[in-house]
Amino acid sequence: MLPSDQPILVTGAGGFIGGRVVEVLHGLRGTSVRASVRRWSSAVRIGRLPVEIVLCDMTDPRQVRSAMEGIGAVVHCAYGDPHATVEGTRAVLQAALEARVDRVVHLSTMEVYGEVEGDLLEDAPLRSTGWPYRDSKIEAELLCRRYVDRGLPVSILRPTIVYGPFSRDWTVGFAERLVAGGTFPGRADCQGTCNLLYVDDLVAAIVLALDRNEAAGDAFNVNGEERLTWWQYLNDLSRAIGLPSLNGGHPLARRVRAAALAPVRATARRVLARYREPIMAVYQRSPVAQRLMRSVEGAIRRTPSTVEYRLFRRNVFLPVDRARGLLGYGSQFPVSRGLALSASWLRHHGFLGLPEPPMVGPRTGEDPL
Amino acid sequence: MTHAPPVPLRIAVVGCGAIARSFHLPALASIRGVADHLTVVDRDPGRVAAAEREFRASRAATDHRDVIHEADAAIVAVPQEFHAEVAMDFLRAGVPVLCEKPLATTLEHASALVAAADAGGTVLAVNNTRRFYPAVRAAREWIQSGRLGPIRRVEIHEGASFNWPLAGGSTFGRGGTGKGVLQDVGAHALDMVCWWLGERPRITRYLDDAMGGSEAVARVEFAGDGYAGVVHLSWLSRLPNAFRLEGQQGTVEGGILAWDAIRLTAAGGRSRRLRLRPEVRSFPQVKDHVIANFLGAVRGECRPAVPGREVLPSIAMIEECYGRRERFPMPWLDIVRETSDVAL
Repeated sequence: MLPSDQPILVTGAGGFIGGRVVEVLHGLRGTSVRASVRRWSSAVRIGRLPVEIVLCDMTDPRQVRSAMEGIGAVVHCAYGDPHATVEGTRAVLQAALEARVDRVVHLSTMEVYGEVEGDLLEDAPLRSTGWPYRDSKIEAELLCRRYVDRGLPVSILRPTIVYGPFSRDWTVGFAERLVAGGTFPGRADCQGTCNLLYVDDLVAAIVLALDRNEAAGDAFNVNGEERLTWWQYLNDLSRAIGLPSLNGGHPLARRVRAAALAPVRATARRVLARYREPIMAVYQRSPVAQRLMRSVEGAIRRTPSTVEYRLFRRNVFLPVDRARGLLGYGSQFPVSRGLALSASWLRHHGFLGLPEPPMVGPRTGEDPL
Repeated sequence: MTHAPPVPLRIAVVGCGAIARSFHLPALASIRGVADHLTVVDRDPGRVAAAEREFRASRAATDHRDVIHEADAAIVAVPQEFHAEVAMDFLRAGVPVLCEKPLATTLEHASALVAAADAGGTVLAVNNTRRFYPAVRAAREWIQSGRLGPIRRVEIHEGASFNWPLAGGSTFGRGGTGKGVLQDVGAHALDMVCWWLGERPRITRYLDDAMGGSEAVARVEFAGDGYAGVVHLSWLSRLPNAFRLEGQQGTVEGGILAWDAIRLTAAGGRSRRLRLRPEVRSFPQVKDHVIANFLGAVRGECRPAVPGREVLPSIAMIEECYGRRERFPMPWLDIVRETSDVAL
């Protein structure tokens, strides 16, 4: 029942998952897409396709209602700070209710289950922990439930660790760290389960949730189906991009280094958030400042964070039985295939060095023009 | 010794988007004899009012045709697809123009602008700012000195995650211009190639990733007498933002935005860092030099740093590329059909 005569609105279309949703939906025969972005500069990726792109601030109900005009279904990928996540979701749900759309697919996250371990089915409780991202995604899910009660056919998807082309967290960031010779937690600290989900598997689940009547009013785990450890993933990624396996030794030294860098990381984040403009002005004017800032940034990027340690040790797995049973979902991208595609994408975009003879020139900052 | 105060100039800035507000207007607003006679023009009343307030302009308008006869010179900073139309209106009235790059989106329009400027004896300058960058200038000096020997290979790799605060989305998607990073960043990079080599190389291959919209990654391969080269551009990822010019007797490498040094490697393999002592010492200074040069050209004191005629070869290259575009092989995209079939 994918609407064929009315476009599907994709919010957060400038992002990693929203961008891929737009690409795939556009590739479906007879499906038209309206992609909404927060700012024009984030339309570069989807702008390669002849799709309709609209500017929309999700926290402004008037703009959301306008983006929703004539829409048949919604894939809600947009999120931001806690206020934007919650109020954006509220605005989307209200506008969708008023527009009587056939389906809303809300992108949630595995994080709504909290820091617990074990196999987590969809009826496990949602646990706030004080982490703003998690808590706001829980609040957004609760809003979805309220709108389901009001008759809106919302389907909630809880994806896991989504990797693939354009994944900054799990593909680009790790690959860049591997290429730069950076470190990861040692083997012993990477034995948690990595719930790895190739982005096209998630998008296939989204399309199914749009398509199947059984999807309405329910929440679904969306995960890959291989239970591998973070250590396996990092090594598979390293080999896929043509690098050797990781060295798993000296876990204590790595832990000490991660702990030592934690305050630097936190301070850098706070200072940058508060003083971005004056810092960039100094950066543009002074080669010494450029070298200093790049060296701090490099050290942070090459060293595992304490958050990573917690994640990489966690033994949790999200089975997809409900999605398989009700939606007909099944992963089509084993890790080997997803990583091969990711590696070719990384190479194409220069993340693994240039395909041409290497250049020795200094690496400069982003050009303001 | 005292200098006579400069003759006041009435400058109209047409288009009050990001480039006008971050580059042209701040530079103009700091110049005596110019700041008090600024005119700002934008079709968006809110945007022009904001620029008028911020830069204390003495006149604001929403249609450039209303101010043509009140301006001593104009800066054209409207979206690319309107450069030719707006610049032509000023040139036909004999008003000197500094146009944002690219001068025009077709060779025909760019040539018409050059012809109009020539016919009226009017200044037509283009803001191809890379020519003010010290490393780019130093590379040209090395080629011209002959010390690199005949050039064998030219490479430019320029890319960053696109974050320009565009006021409109006419570049992208359905109904967009269909011209992306090549026309935007390529207007700089291919101009550098032509300026360095003193000629327009022939295109041997052009690939990009447009799929009915505007490309975000582009690769231009070109060749000339005894040399070959590549310009690799991206709006989606960070590339080295560097160039490499390999001659028979030596190679020059540098960061496009390097203000302090470039690297010179002799054919024998000895490599050394060459310190730059540029007149333009940091990016924020570029705008002052660009504007000073244009005002000097308007007053007849100097020639424009980038006359319109000099960018015609790069515009011709861009046009030729778009005429023969091939799509990159992108297996991660080509499985869309397969994914869709699985889902449905």
